Amino acid sequence: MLKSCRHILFSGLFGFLFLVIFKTGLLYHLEQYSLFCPKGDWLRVFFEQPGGLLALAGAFLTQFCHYPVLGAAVFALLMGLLTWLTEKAFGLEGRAVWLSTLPALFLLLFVTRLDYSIYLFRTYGLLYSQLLGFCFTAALLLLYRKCFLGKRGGPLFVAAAVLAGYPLFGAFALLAAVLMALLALREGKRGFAELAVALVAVAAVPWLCRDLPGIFPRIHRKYVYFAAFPYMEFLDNVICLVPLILAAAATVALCFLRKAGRIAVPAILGAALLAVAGGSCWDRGFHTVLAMERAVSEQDWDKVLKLARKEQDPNRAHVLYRDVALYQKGALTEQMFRYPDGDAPLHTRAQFPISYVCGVPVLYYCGMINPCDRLAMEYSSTFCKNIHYYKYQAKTALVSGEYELARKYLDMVDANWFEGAWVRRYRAFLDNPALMEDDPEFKRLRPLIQDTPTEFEASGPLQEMLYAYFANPEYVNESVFEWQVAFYLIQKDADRTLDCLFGRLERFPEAPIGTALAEGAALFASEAGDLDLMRALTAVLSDKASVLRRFSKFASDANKAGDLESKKTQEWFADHYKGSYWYYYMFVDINPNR
Amino acid sequence: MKRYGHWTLLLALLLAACTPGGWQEASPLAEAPALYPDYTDIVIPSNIAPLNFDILNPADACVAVLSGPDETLVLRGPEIRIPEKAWRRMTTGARGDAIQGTVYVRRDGKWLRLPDFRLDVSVDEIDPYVTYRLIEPGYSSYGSLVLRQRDLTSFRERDLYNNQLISRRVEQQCINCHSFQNYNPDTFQFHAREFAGGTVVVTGEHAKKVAFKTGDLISNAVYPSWHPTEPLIAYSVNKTAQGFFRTHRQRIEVYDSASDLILYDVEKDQVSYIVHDSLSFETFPYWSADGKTLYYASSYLPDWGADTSTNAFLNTDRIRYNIFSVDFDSRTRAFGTPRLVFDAVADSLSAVTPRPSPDGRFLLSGVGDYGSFHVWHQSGDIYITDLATGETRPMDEINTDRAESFKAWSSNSRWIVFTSRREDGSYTRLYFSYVDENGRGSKPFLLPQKDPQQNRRLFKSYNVPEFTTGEVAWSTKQLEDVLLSDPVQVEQIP
Repeated sequence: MLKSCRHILFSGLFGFLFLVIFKTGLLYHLEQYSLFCPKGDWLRVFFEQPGGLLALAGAFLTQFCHYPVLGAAVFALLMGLLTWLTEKAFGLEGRAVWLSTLPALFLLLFVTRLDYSIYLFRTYGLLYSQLLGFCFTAALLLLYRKCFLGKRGGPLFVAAAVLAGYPLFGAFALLAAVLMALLALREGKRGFAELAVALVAVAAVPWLCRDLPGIFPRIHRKYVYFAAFPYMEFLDNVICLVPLILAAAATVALCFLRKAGRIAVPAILGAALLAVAGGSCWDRGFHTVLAMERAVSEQDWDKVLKLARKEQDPNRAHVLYRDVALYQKGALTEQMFRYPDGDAPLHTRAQFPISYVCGVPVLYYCGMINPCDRLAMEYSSTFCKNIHYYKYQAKTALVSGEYELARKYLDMVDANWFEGAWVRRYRAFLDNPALMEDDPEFKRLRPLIQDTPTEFEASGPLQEMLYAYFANPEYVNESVFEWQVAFYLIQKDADRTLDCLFGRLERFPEAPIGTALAEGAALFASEAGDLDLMRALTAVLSDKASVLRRFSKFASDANKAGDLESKKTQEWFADHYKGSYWYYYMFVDINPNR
Repeated sequence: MKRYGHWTLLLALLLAACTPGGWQEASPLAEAPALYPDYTDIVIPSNIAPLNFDILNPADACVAVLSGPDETLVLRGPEIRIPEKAWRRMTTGARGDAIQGTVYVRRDGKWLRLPDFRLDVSVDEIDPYVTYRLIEPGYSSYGSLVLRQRDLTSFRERDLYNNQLISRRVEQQCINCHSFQNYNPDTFQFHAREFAGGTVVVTGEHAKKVAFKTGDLISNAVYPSWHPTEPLIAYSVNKTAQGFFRTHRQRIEVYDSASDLILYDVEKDQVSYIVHDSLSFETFPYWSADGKTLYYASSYLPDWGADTSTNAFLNTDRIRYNIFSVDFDSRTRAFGTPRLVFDAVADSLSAVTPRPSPDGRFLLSGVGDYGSFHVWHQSGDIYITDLATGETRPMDEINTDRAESFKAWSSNSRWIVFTSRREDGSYTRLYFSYVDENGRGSKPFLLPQKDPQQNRRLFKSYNVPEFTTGEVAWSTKQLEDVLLSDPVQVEQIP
């Protein structure tokens, strides 16, 4: 028994371990960027286009990824099921049964290949829907082989499979029809009849579904033959579709498999495993973003900082998440430049701004309540509606005192199986809004919400929005001061940094000054060459004498340094001054338009 | 009615068998019935779909009893789902009369009867269809927009057009401003912007896509109004912009920095100016039912000079509109001299979107503290002008402290549909109110849904509701074909 199931166990176990070891962050992300609601009006939307059943089933199963091990287990089970169905559908025997793992392995690759394009998903349940689609195809094929192959009803079954299957399973029904015809041709049993029926059905049914009024109100004419495939997601990142094409090609190839050679099987399987290993997305920055995203959602600020410390070539999402965490820990202008900084591009073929990745949480934790809500709304209407955005919209509604609205979002999040604890925490504020006064999250947030009701926000890239929000150097409170200074330092804005610092010192002469700010102030004063300014600064930085001493040395080193563009010079400064503002100022450039 | 008698009896027996017993002996309780949606003490048309509701009063069990002159329905709560046929018989039998509703709740084993409520059933029916756009109350993205038509006599609704039919990731398409000629579902238009953009104009079995940007018009055609009898559409052309508030609860300001009115001849594909005044912004045209008067909103800003874009951006809260009317001779196609109908600016208000009743008695306007896009203004309210006396008043009986904005009259001038954010402050929903011969509105009621909780689960806003007397015959795919066709370019004439 075990012997006959080895390939099935292998397929499932490999998928499970791969996902659990390398892709838990991805699974959790996909759950947070998905949504499921077991109510008729919500479910109905899935049936407005062919293949909706797969998306619906996928959305349902994606809930399990709240616990990535559970999500991986479900995926592994489906991989095993597909392997078994493929084996039986093609009647594979002997060592050839190992080749039945190929479609499942390529579907695993489809998931593990995913990169930042996950932020552009417009279709629900993509994690499982493709696997489910292939299972459906193989199941149809198995049924055909067992009951209709070579029989009179064969062509009728093919036609019925397309007619009934296309509305629910989309192009997978078309694939099944083609495979049934190929199977019949292979067996030489009335194959041409099946082929003729399959071709006619495949050509006609999608257009029939498209043109009959009232059946599918939103079936896209350009993609009728691709219904249920993720064509919208990967239009400019087609390489992500390669695993699906490989899975389909492997399935077609199995149709024609006569013999499996002693060497061919391990060679093909090995190549497939190598493809999974080599073709998966191993971008460290991407995985760090996912891990940070989860830590931010759980408000585990220590974990965010731990991840930031490890990321040596950060992109702005890493940096902004780090700054949020530092603010939450009360150490923003003290420590922000002690972490690696940078502006690495997102490693993906899809082109989109950084705000797609981290805009909503970052704006929220910076107190930009309306822009946060706006972005979440924009993305919800452009991409899949999801738990992640609704959570932030619920929180912004709570902060704004719009409790009915918050309830609406919380109810929707609550419809998902594993979100109960999160919802309970925030629902408590609906029953008693006064509790928000003492809640650490809202206590940290409220001072950042500026009272400028008639002002429009700056439109544009995320970093410009943030900078503009904190661009007024007038002192508001300590929380706003922290962010103001942080953004002025990031933007290397000498005048505003100094104005902000002295404005605050006028009110609170004894207020502590963070190290990063002290370093920045020393540098800007020195650059200005204003002796009065330097004297004044020396006085206010009396408890930061070590910073001033170090700055003197830095200034001397900088003056002595030759070509600052040279790699050697940069490495020398990195060795001696990395972690200081001065290093950031001289060697780190960020692109505010990213 | 007699032939239904045995079925009614059977139904009542069946329902009674399914409902918890003992409620008949309930003792009274002075606690108002809490229903969602609040359908207590309202006026309804006899042809409206069943008013399903949920009972929110705390209870171990509950029962609702709806009693009309000929029919009594006993329904187990808390989710009251009324059978459509029984409801139709009940409302038909109660025309000009009332349906009495009573909620019974069981608490600690004891049945309690809450105070009765009334559903007055008007003899005036409502137009059977309403068309609206479903859109996220968002800002600039339009990933998924749909023009949808709802049969008000049932729960059936269908897409008139769905932008996902041809939208792709980079080929987005906004659809808006649907408008019908005199409630006729066979003659209508709507705009598509961006991908495959243009205005779809449907006249019976013919349809075309029209491109309006021509001559010195400042934009494509925007807010439309079909002439009730002639093949003419009055439009505004607008230079519209939007700003996003940082912290204001209204979140967004949509404003014009220039606008004019134009007249489009549907048969000749020609446009000409109706009003083109550089010192004023004219917008939101709407014809009277006899086609002899065109109402519109106008904001007079003589001190703004040429740079209206900057001025508008910096002074959105200073832009205020009044309602004007202008006579129209359909024979010569000549317009008369504008008359002030509602001087809202005098009260530091801004009135837009005039909607005269088909019988010519009243005029509805959307009024807010300033600006033209009151769907985003919490101050947005509906005002009514008695066109016989010229008196204008806020319809306090239907307004709330949240935005009321888009509205339309039914063809018999007795019902209005309007959008309001009263539900949660963000997502607009459709409300209906009966307007009597004195211009007083009844307590509004929410568009009935099969499952009322749909209102809470739907993350889209309803906007631009328009009544029609029938269903649009064109399918979504036929309209898609029109949108993908080459546009007819209009010609500007003096």
